[in-house]
Amino acid sequence: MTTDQVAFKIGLLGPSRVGKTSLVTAMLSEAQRMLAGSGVAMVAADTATEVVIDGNREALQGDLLSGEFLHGSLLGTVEPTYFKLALDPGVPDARIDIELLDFPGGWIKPKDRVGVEDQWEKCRKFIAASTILLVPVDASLLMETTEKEHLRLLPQFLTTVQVEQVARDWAIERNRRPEEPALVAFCPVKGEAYFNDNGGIKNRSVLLRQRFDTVYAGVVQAVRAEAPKATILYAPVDTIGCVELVRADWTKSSTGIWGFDAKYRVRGKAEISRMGVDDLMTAIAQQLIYGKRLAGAQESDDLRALANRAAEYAERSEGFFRDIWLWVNRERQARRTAAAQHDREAREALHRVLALDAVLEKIAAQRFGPRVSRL
Amino acid sequence: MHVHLRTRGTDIDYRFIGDTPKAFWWSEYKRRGLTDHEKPVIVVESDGAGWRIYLHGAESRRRDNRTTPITFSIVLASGAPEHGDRDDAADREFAFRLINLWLEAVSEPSGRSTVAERLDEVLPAITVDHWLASGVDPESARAAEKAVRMAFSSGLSEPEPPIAVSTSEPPYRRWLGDLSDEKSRETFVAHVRELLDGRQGKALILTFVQAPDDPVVADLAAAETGDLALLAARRGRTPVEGMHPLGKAEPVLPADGKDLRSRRPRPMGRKRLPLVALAVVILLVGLIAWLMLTGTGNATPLPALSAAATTITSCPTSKISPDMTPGEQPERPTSDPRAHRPWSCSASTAAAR
Repeated sequence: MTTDQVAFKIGLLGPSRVGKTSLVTAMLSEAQRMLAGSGVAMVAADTATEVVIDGNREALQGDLLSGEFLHGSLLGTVEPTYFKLALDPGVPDARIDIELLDFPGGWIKPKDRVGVEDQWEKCRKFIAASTILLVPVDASLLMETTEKEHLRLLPQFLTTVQVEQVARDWAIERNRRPEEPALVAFCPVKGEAYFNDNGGIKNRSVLLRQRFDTVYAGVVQAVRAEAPKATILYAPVDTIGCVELVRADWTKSSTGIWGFDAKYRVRGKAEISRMGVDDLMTAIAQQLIYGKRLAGAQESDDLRALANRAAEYAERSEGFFRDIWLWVNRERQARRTAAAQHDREAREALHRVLALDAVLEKIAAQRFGPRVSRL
Repeated sequence: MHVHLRTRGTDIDYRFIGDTPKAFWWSEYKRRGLTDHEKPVIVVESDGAGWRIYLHGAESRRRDNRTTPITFSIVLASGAPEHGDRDDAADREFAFRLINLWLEAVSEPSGRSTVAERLDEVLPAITVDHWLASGVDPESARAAEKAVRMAFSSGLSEPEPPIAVSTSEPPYRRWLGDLSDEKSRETFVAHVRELLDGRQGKALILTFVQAPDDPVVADLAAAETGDLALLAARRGRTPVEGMHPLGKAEPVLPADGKDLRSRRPRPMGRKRLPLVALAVVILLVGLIAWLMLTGTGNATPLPALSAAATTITSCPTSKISPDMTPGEQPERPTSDPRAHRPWSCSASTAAAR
């Protein structure tokens, strides 16, 4: 089980350009606000994470100010990026370190990871060891693909076959550690045009869900089969909010390579209005705090056992003369001091567990929004 | 000189064309919270005998199948001098010119840069797609290297802007300036020239750094020996004014690989002198006693001499490896010539009686 020093891992799984980095940026940008009511806070834990996220936010702001949003303004990920985060549940000494891996989405396809197999292997191992798996889903691809010849391209563009394989590996690994929490969240992104709860006019969320169920059926089934205890969520996220799909085209280059081009415009006030991130953050926080609570409970038990042994040792009679000698050389007093210290540590650990329970209760009381459903 | 080019194709994700460097040594700077190698950056390292360079961020006109802009990375590493390297001077000149153009692109990110224009000229989408589809392929790697060399060789159609290099001696050997400051950039370029010519040190654009007193800068200065030319480039920073000296450097290793400190004997501590004198006296007394007790008056024949001749062969002069991480330090030379480069020298020893 995880200890204080070991970071919880969150894996991101999806093809190139699906919006992995945008999802991470949305999560971190909103974390403070979203979790504020629960007394839980999530922050960047190192400069690199802070600066990268700030840079992404600035790029998005620039797009909004220009009036036209191109999902391509965030350049693609070139190498694996490890974001370091910290979740503070508001309980002393119970900070939860989190590592989140973003990697070049193309690597999920064998033909795209030629020459970087060893790096992919590290990514794969990280994902397998992750407590939480986030699977961004390109909603615009799902919804704007209607022609038969384009529908055939969906598995290639969404890499559903490869996503299923990696998700299955993750689920198998989770099943080997049934005592640990496990959450996989499918997050349709770039779907601002299909909901009417965040400035949109039409509500096509039911159709989006149907398309998701059809295209990702294999992935969901693989997780369910291999890790029956894992929590599986469907949680659409507006990473920007104030954008509207204007046009989406499938095009074929002169060399016969298919492409999908979606154009967006800014709607209403050019203000970012993220939706669904709070549900996702709540689910993540719940899983991680639960994981921390389990680790804390184990630690508390160990410390209590140690404290009991120390107390017994401190008061143990070792014969009349030996007891006098222990009193004379102050050994008895030293043992009692040590036992008291162990007892204090055990009580502190128990207090942490109880405090984490209280936080979990508070988070559990928060209901998911109507967009979210369990699969 | 080895040239690696990384970019992505229309439907193939980022990778090095044909041949991938064994280690992504530049990513260590991100781990240390110094620079983001996925932003426009320049990373130059030299151990005095070899150098390696990472350049990233030039934006191509090409777009991927989701209309996302595509970027280029170029990794250069000096060749092995033991192979003759007749083109060494030309390679250095090539690298220098490329870094200058890259610095120009990095410092003025708005608009199309000369580097991107030139790379696009020689790397049309159809060619890049074909090379990337070839996977690990020495032919593609060679073709990509040739294209990069061609893009930045002199005598191209577009006239090159004059290279602004500070001609005066840099005020500091280890300093931090700002990417937006022209004088700092000129000094940075002058340092790059010296690193390519054999000085030990590093020239880095640091996208995570905004001020000379950032703790990561102090850590870097403490950990690194040799020259340090650093340009702060964090977004939204207040530009650093002027050039700020960093901590003292360790003695710089000259190109011959000998530590200056090892050239002169260290003075013996005064406290040790009496002990040494006492040891010598005891040894002398013992020797005299032994001679008196065992001496027969006949001279003891001297033992036969052994002469050992050691030949060093195929010994590379560069201690820097393209695969070393920045945390790794090249091994310090000692007075023993065989100990200079124990990792790659072959030695043959012949004994004669």
